[in-house]
Amino acid sequence: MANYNTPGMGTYGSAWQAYGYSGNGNVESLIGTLQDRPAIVVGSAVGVFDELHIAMSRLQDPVIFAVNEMGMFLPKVDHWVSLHSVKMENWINVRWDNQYVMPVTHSMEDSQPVGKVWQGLNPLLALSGYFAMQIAYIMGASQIILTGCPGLARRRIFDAEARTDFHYGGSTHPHDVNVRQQLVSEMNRLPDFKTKVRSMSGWTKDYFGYLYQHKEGKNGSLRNNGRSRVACEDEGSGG
Amino acid sequence: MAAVLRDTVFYASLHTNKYVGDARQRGGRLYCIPFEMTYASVSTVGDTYNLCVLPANAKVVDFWCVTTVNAASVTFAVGDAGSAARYMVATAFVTVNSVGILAATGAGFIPTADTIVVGVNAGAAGTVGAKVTGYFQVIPGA
Repeated sequence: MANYNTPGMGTYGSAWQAYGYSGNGNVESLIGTLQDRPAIVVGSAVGVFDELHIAMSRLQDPVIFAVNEMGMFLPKVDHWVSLHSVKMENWINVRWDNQYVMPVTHSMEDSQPVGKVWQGLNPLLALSGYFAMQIAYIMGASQIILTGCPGLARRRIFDAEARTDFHYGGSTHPHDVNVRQQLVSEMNRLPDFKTKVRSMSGWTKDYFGYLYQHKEGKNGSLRNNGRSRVACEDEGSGG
Repeated sequence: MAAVLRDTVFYASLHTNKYVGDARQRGGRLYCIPFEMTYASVSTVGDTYNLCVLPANAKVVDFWCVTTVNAASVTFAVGDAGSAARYMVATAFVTVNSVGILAATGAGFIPTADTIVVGVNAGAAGTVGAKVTGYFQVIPGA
């Protein structure tokens, strides 16, 4: 059982306030520590490895935020984020078996073996990928690139078919509409946050924009979808 | 026995005894404290949600909330640290447009300190994206 803050609470009872957010937990020492490094959020939608490869080629020294199961598979992970704290122990065991270096683990509930607890983060977005995006923003990332987070009903890399019970915001079911509306409302509340985010595929790419390769070869240009594309652009398998 | 017309407490105080009332009895301004909560993907049975804060000495005169569709068997109650269902008894919040209203224990309640209002999810884990929206109406003491 967990306790969540909702927008109506504002900053009441919070131990820290930063970047338009507030909360408690043992995370205050993380605020602003990325010092303008770019961040890549790695979700589990099919196509994520191609998207990650492209994003890595266009950014200098990115910080990797793995989301949920992806933390088991990626050799380089700096931060591992999940709203499902009770599942982290099993996932971490798989990473140990793969002999990968253990990253900093993040969740919103104090549960072993979660290292950083974003207790009472307000407001908290509904999906783990968006939660990772929030953490990257509060930690001071200059750019936040979503890979494997299309915001669509796309199967995950370990699914034979796309889920039928939930579509990550990509259907007209009220739950999906609410998830997407929550994200849009949050980006309207914090436009500076939105300007830092790009996505490599899906609805999130349409909403936030794509990570283009700069025409002069300076990787990581955050120019929006509406502008002209460059000849060397490579979208890979992104949606 | 013949029917009897009786004065209520406020009526007697203000109009019979001519006591000077305060804003929470007459003439008080009403203000609204809205709240909303969206279930995250990690929802479990028994999760609690801090919905809003009732200011000290403000009298609760109304409460209402509504839900979108949610998982089978989900109930939602609204209360505070002193009583888990003070403002809304556990109500089935499964079908869309299910509504919760102010419980008798909350009607006229005046917290003596700033009070966090807590929603409690029970019966089943809420579905990610399900949303509860509502408001309190209170009359402050001045």
